[in-house]
Parts: sequence; C-alpha cells; structure tokens
Amino acid sequence: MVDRNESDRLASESWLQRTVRKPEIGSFIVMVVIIIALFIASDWKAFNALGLKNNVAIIAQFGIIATGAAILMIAGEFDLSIGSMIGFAGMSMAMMLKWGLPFGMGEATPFAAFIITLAMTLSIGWFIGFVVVRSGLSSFIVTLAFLFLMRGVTEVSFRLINQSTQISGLPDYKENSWFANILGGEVFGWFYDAWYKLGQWLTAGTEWPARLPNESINYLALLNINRRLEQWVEGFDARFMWWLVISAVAWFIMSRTQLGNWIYATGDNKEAARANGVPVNAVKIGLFMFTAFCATMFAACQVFDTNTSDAAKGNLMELFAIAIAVVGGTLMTGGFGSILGVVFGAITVGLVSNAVFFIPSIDGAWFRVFLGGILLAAVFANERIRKRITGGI
Amino acid sequence: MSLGNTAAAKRPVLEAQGISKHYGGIVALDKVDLTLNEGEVLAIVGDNGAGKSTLIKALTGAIAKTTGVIRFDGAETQIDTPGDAKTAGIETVYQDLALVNEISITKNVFLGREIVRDDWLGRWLGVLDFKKMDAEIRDLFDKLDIRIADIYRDAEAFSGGQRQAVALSKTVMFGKRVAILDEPTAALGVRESKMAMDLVRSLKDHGLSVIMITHNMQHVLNYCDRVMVLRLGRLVAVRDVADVDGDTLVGLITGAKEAGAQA
Repeated sequence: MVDRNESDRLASESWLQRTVRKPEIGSFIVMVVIIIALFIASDWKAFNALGLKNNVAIIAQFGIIATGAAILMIAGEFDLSIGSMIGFAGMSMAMMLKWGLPFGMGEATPFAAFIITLAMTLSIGWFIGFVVVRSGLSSFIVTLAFLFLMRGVTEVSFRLINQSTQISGLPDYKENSWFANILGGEVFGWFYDAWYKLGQWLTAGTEWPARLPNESINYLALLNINRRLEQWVEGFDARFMWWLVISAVAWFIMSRTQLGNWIYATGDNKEAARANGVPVNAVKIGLFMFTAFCATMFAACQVFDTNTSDAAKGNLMELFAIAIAVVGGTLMTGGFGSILGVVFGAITVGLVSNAVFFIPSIDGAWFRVFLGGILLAAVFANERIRKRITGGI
Repeated sequence: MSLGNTAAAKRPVLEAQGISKHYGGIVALDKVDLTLNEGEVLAIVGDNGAGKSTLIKALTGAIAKTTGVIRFDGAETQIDTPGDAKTAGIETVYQDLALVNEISITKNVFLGREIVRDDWLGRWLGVLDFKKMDAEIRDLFDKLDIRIADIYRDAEAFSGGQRQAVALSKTVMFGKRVAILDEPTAALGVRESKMAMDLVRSLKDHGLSVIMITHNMQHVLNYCDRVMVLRLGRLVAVRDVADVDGDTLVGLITGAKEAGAQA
C-alpha cells in the first residue's frame, strides 16, 4: 500500500475551484446580470453620459457607508446608527455654516464645519464601541438605541436653533472653497472630456437638422453631446472619488496589513484572537469609529453638493448599508467577506434603486421588491458558496 | 540511574509557589506549587474541576491569581497578562482557542505577531511581509515534519490532527522557553493523537520545556517525565512517571489513594 498522507487530501485546487471559493463571486454574477438587464430595459439610457453620472453618484453614496458597515460586520458587529449619524453630521455641518461656529467663535468655513463635525461623530462612534465592548451587549441593541437617540437629537437641535427641520439656500461654497469643492464638486472631468472628444470624432461631418429628432438626441446622449451639440456632462460627483479612495484603502487594509488580519480574526473567533494577543476591543471600537467616519463623508458630500440639509437625511441608510454588505458576500456572523464584493454589491443595489428613473413605465416602489429579491438571492448564493468551501471535508 | 535523579539535577525553568485562585467564596486553587525543569514534559492530571485549567491560566496571566509567586529562571517575574507570559517566553495552546477558522494557516500561526515589512510601509501601516512569513512557516513545518501542502488555505479546511500540529508549531515559533498545552489530544483520533504526542515530545529538542494538561493516562506514562495530580484545587502528588503506573495515578486522581506531595 502506498503511504497516503493526510495532506494528500488537500493537495491542490484547479483555477475554477479557487475562483468559485472567492467570497465575491456571487455578487459579481448578480452585478453583471443587473447591468445587462438595465442596459436592455432602459434602452441604453441608464448608461448614457448623464445616466452614468447619476448612477455612479448613488452607487458611490451606498458604497461609502456599505464599506464601513461591511468591515464592522466582518469584525462581528452591527451598526444600525449609520443613517442617524448621516442626519446628525449633515445637520451639524449645515447648522454651523448657517449660524456660525458654536460658543460664538465666529463664522464657520466649510473646513472648520467639517472637522468639528467629524470630531463629534468620531467621538460618538468611539462611545458606541466602548459601550458595546464594555457591556457585552449585542451591538444590534446598542446601535438601535443610538439610531433613535441621534435622530431625535438631530431633529430637536434643528427646531431649537433653526426653528425649522431643514436648511436650504446656503451659499454655494464650492465656488470659493477648495475644500467644499473636493467634497461636493465634480471630479474626473478628463473622463467626460475624452468621452466628448470621442463623440465629436465619431459624429464628425454629420449634418444635423436644426430641430433634432428624439432618436438623434438619444444617440448623442450616448456620446456625451447635448441637443445643442455641446459637451453635455462635465464630470462625476466628487463622492465617486471618495468611494474609490475609501474602498481602495479598505481593500488594502483588509488584505495586506496586520490590522486586516486582526479584523478577520476578531469576527471569526473573538476568544481565540484574544488568546493570541489581538487587541479585540480596540479593533471593534476603531471600526465603530470608522462607520461614523463613513457616515460623515456621506453627509459632507451631500451637504456641499446640494447646499441643503434636513432632519430626515440618511433615513434607512443603515439598512441599505447592511443589505449591500450582505449582497456583497459578507457574512452576518462575522469573519468572512471582501471589499471587492461590497463594491459589486454597491453597484448592484445602486443600479436597482435608480432603475425606476430610466424605466418610466414601472412604478417606483418596485425598487424595494427587487431589492428584497436580490437580498434573498444573494444570501442563498453566499450560503451555497460557503458550503462548497467547508462542505468538502 | 533513575529518571528522578536526572530530573532533580536539572535546572528549574519555571517555579510557582502558593498559587491560589478564589472566586468569591469558592477556592478554585489552593496554594499549589509547581516546578518545571529544563527540557522536561510535566503532565498535570486531575478530574474535572480539579483546577488544572485554572492553574495554567493563572500561570499565563489569563486570569488574575489571588496569591502566589512565579519565578522564571530563578528570578521573580510578574505575569499579569497573557502578553507578559509571551514576553517571558511562555507560549500557551488552549484547547479550543488555538486557531481561527477562516484565515489562512500562515496568518493563523502569526496571528497577533505578524511579521511586517522592513520599511516605512511595515512600520507605519503594518503592511505584512507574506514572503518572509511563508518562508518561516515552511522552515518550521520542515523542522517539525508537519506535512501541510497548502499554507494559504483557511485553517477550517484541515483535519483535527493537522490543526493541532499547526497550533503546536506555534510554541516552537514563539515559545522561547516554555510551552503550556491544554489537552492537546482532546478532539483527536488514535493515530492523530500519536502524531500530536510525538510532536509534543519533540518540542524538547527545540529547547522547550512543556507543561501539559491531559486526561489520557497512557499519554502520561508514555510521553511525560513527571506528573502532578490535582484534586479539588489542591496538589495531592508529584511523581516521576517512572515510579507510577496507571492504577496508582487513577487512585490519586479520584482520592482512593492518598499521598504526600513529593517529587
């Protein structure tokens, strides 16, 4: 008999097996299906120059908060306070811009409003994490409390200081402040410039009638040319850049650094991680601060883009963030998930939530039906993938 | 020449005196003394609730002891946290807490003590040096004759015996002086147990002295040098393995036999 060693049972895997075992594969397939379906259903409108900009705007919004939520879930905790944190941060920034810095410290610059708000939200994030690790209570309950608490504080502050639960008509800070511009302005103009150049080159020599028929307008829209034959869209919303930055940093941390290793270990088996010297509590508190940071970035991009704020901003966003994390392959039980999967999940959910604008024949509420279906499908797909990973032995 | 004489001639690495642990009114551990000599395998046996786990947790700083002094190489040493124990050169393998399921073997072995790159990326951002870690692990597994083909796979994919082998290998990688093992064969089959125990035995060759909790009398008799018996939080006997047999040990554990503590 040949001496058969235990390790022979796990000798090697094919390329296909390795691919199928990746946590992001399910969300990738769902995303591709949604993109193709939307291409067809919207008659290409969802991906013309403006359609892409609008889709990317909402994808980036979702992606920013979902990244925070997903990493926290990988570490084994939940944050239901993300939506209220967005409302609170937006309120805080808009209020300072309108009524000046607290304690009569004078007029607020966009930078000062942002930094002071960030200091507050990070402190709250720290406090939430501190309560969770010290009390040992479920983060679901603790952050649910903060969901109510901070939404209430936001509304009360609005009424007390501002007399009304919304602020609108702030000056357009983007024009004078570079800082407001990198949060609320436009980025990657070169992309749309190149798109326009390409459109010009493709349509060179064409004689357009004075009054363009609808088909021509739709065609030109795909080439970033408007009905006056000028460049149509100038750039993406700045939040696209922030989403890319946050995702890239998160991917790097999770896959290449000591901290990433600690986060996975903490969510997978907290006691084992602790026994091996991982500072489990510090990891968790830090990640609650990170979700607070993501919520603040979400709010800052919104405030400086629209120059408005109101008490209902960010409502339900915590649930979208969790849904995206799950669609992206993150496990509710912790220890498993990938940033690339979350990117795919954000694209999927963002496209679905925007789809009604490009398919006018359907009722807007179908969006929630689709989202629910995708969420269920994703959970089942992830479960199958997991069984394939663990069921072999 | 009996084994007892050689053990006595050896230098003690770790000495603990009068270790007690009280949980409110309950005395989990009552003034237990322990001496671990250079290069020996010391077994700790006893029934459930005898205080075995409490003793090793007190030794490694996982719980705060009520009283007691720990000497390392003859010098009194404060061990108040698991970190202190690791710094002193004591590496512990707990029964269920050895490995994290869904990270790779490499990351598991280095968990909490990852090797970071030797440049600003490593120093400031904690960027891992996978090449160096992989190389060290392959060296380690070669040295210990642990056969694991794919160190990039998640720990979950491996059998109980392989997982235990990986957990034990950490003591060689990091435990400069002492390895403390909490039931290293608890969940293993017969052949896997033998593999694990051979590995325990070989830890000596790598300069480690071993304390091992076990319920398996055969393992005590075949693989250990000395054995200490705990009952209801008290030390009831310390014997050279050469001087005892299975029946005597069972008698000491259950209390059917009484004996003064002696080495």
